[in-house]
Amino acid sequence: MSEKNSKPPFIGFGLGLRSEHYTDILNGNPPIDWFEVVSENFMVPGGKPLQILDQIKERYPVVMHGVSMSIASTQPLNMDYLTRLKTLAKHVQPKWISDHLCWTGVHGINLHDLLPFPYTTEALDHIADRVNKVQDFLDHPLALENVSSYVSFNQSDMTEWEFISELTKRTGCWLLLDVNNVFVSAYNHEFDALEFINGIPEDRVIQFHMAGHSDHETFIVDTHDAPVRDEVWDLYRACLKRFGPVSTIIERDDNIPPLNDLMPELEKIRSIGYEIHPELKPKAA
Amino acid sequence: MSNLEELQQRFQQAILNQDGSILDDIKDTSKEQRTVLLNVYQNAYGARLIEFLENDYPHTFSYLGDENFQKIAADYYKHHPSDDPNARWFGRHFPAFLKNHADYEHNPECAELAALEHGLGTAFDAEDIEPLSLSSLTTLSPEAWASLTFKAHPSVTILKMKTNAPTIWTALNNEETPEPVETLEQPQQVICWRGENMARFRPMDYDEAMIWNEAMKGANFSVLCELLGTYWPEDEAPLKAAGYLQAWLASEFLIAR
Repeated sequence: MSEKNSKPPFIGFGLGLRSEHYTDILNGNPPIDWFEVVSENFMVPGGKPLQILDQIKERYPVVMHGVSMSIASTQPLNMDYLTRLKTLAKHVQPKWISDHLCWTGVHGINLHDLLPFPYTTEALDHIADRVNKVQDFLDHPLALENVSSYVSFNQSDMTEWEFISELTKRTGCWLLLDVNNVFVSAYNHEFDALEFINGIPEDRVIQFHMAGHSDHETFIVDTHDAPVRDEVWDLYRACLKRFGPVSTIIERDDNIPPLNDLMPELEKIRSIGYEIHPELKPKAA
Repeated sequence: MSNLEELQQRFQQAILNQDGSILDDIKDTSKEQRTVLLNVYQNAYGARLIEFLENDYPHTFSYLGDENFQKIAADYYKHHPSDDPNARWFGRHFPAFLKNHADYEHNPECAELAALEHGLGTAFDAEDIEPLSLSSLTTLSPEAWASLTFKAHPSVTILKMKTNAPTIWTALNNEETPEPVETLEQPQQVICWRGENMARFRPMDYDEAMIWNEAMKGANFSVLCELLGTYWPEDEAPLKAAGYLQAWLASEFLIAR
């Protein structure tokens, strides 16, 4: 088994890297185990973004997380994008590369959204083929993330978790489980979040995202702009029990608080991790 | 065309056209109607693209005000839907769009303000290429100096301003009320670039702009000196040219050709 196919190691509890925190991170070396960086933010010709990334990667393990692979699109794979992604990965040497199980547009248009698709055999054949091609192209492990969705399609003939399970079987890809997204989609599409969790293969999940959402009563929107809700903490515990120790970050995309305000939430993620898996706790000297 | 391809095409059209053409394919839930659920995607689309533009053109946004900016931004994304996976490039046509927009025909400072912000954005994350330094030229023979030609650093953007948009930018950047718009007697050339790791701009003197433009077309140093002779006495022109060249090198405008 090549290195890119072997399971990446547990790297602890981290944060999504945001520009608002650059100064505090570089001046303070805060106790954060690792950072997830948004690939596209650094797929630029040069300048300060890449200089900062170089400084971060010298001090912390880094994972690259993209938003534009559009793996579920029926548009041909964007080889220019993938080439630039691979070039960045060669420079950054991330522990793994992730993107979303979704599409972002067709016919040359990018809607810059993580769009849903029907869970059908046709979609599975199409996406599995693309995942295999992308994995062959990239020199790093690939993890795909479940997205929050607001609509479901009449055409679907399997559940989301059945679809994801089958995709991992066919491609050997890894999974980034966004725990909040499971909660949001479960609420919106009226399924049991635990049934989703228990339907995902135990050995494929290499990362969790934790985030907040906005409740509109009849549906929930995955805003990633607020602290993690209590119900999602419960689900995080269930995920840790099912999937074992999994590298986790807080993914805050909007309404970004000062770094110090995020640290207690990160510590909560860590302490629940230690509670469920005491073996992770550093041994006292 | 596959079922999935056809569905994605219609879903995209429903977002771009803000219509219900995809509704037959999606489900109501026991809590909500599908029209409302589809609206989550439809509303997010425009809001997200406008936010990209606000981030790339913060002073243009502030100068136009929320209502005007939302209107022109919505018009922009209808004419220029994003065609790149990276949102960084979505707003690249915005200055030209403003310049040619009927609503801004009599407000050329708006497009110039946007062009300035675009120039600064380009400078911010332009390719890292070692700028040409003065020390690398000091060993050249007089003959080599005469035939020396120049190339702009990728961070450089040259703009022609007909208004006092740079002054307006500076006021907005300092959170001050900008001066009233002025139309300049002669268009002024402004250079945007990255120097000492910061995106910057400055106006160029008329003679400096003239020789810069000729230098970028390939004119060598000796020709630049001759051209400056049209502005300055013959014995002062080479010194003037050397002075400009020194300033360009110190500012990191140039790279090896």
